[in-house]
Amino acid sequence: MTDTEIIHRLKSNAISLKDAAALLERCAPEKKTKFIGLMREVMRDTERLLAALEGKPQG
Amino acid sequence: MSKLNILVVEDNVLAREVMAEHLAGQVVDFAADRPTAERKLKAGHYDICFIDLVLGEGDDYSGLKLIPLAASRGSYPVVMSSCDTEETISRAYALGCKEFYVKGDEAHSVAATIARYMRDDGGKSAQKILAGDFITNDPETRALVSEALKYTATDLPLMLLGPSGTGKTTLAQLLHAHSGREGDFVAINCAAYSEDLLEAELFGYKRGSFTGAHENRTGKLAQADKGTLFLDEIGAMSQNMQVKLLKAIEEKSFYPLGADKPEYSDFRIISATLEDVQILLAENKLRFDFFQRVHGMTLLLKPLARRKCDIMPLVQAFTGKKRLAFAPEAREYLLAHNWPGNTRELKRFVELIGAGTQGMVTLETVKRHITPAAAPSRPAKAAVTQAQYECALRHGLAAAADQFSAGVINRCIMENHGKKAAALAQLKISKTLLYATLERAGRTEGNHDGY
Repeated sequence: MTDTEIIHRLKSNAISLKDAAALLERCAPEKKTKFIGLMREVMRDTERLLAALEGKPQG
Repeated sequence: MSKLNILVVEDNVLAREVMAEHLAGQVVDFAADRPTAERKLKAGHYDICFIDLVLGEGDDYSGLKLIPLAASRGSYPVVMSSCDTEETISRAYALGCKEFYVKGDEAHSVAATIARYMRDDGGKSAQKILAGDFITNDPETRALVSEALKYTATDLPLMLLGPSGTGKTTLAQLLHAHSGREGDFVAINCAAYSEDLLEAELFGYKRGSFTGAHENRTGKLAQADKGTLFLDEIGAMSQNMQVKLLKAIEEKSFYPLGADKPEYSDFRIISATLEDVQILLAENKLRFDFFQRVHGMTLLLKPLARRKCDIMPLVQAFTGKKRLAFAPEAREYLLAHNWPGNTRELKRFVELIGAGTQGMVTLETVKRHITPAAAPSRPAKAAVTQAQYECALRHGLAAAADQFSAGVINRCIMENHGKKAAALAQLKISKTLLYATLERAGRTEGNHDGY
């Protein structure tokens, strides 16, 4: 992926995290758990993208 | 309201869940990549298709390729992207995208998109209204109503102009019904009240605020909270009343008579008049600041005599289940009549005919029920206002003619939403003449109060 593509995905991830966080306030408990799981997944992807951007080995 | 079928094309699983929340209540389907989206678009019908542009790692904006497919399948393509370069936006619109929004405020963007779609819905609402609640085959009137429907969900004021009986109140009710405003449609005919009574009717009053005020009374402004306040015959309102109402419109608050605390009301204004607004303004019967606040989008309804194609469809609509047949000469007479009372007169006529006629409607029957006094001829003074006449006496006919021409030009420009080119075409004048007339009129106006 080029830096531009990585940055695009980072933006996407950040936006979805922000939107999901806003929804957590009014979610039913089971939905909240689902959202938190997905948010963690997006955060892991974000870490990976940041590492790729820094040129560090991905792990 | 029936549910919408919506396809969301989005590769980010969290974003898909977020969209699912924002689209709760609709029938929502998802696609995470281009092939799945293509397959779903070809197999089903979706009212709206939300499309992310970059679908997966290393993807080269494949979402763009879905736009023409969605459009060709009758869907309303909406791009949602975190990439908002001018080039991408232009490409998306060129490919048939209807709306492009930048990700980040989905709650608002999705709701706004659906509201716009419902308002527009490919003109289906307009078609339905024009075939049932506001029947017209006249292309200009159809276009006007369709255009007005696009503004129904906004808070913008609307002004309806047109002779008596052309359907201003009916249209106002329809516009309210399609506005999505949860409050009531509250109508008041300003010409039916004296100034004091109108104030009490509009603002309401508290017990004991004047002789006869035995109990608190809610005014029309408060009744129209979250709804629409329809001010009919707005030209009959006194200047004093206009000032008070202007303040209430601007501040969305007002004091009922005898109250020491303000009340609040979120009302939308639709006003109407059968008089010429330019004359009302010229004769200072309508304050300019008040007019500016209430006129918003202006709709001019044509008299029935200028939309004869509506006469027979309206006759059918007014008869209900009963069907009438007119002898050819009776039909011809109907179409030749100028219907000074417009739709209202036609409705009364149809009710009379429908109730008392057996068999074919003859010319004699039609003549018997049509008011012989055709259009009440306009009073001669209406051809020229007193102010115009005085201007001509004081400054000469040429100066008065310039003032009149400038008034016509300014009105035409206003009714064309500021587009001078359209006004030039309609008035069949050159740009030079337009500017010269406005300049001469401005000079004359500088020398006197104008009219």
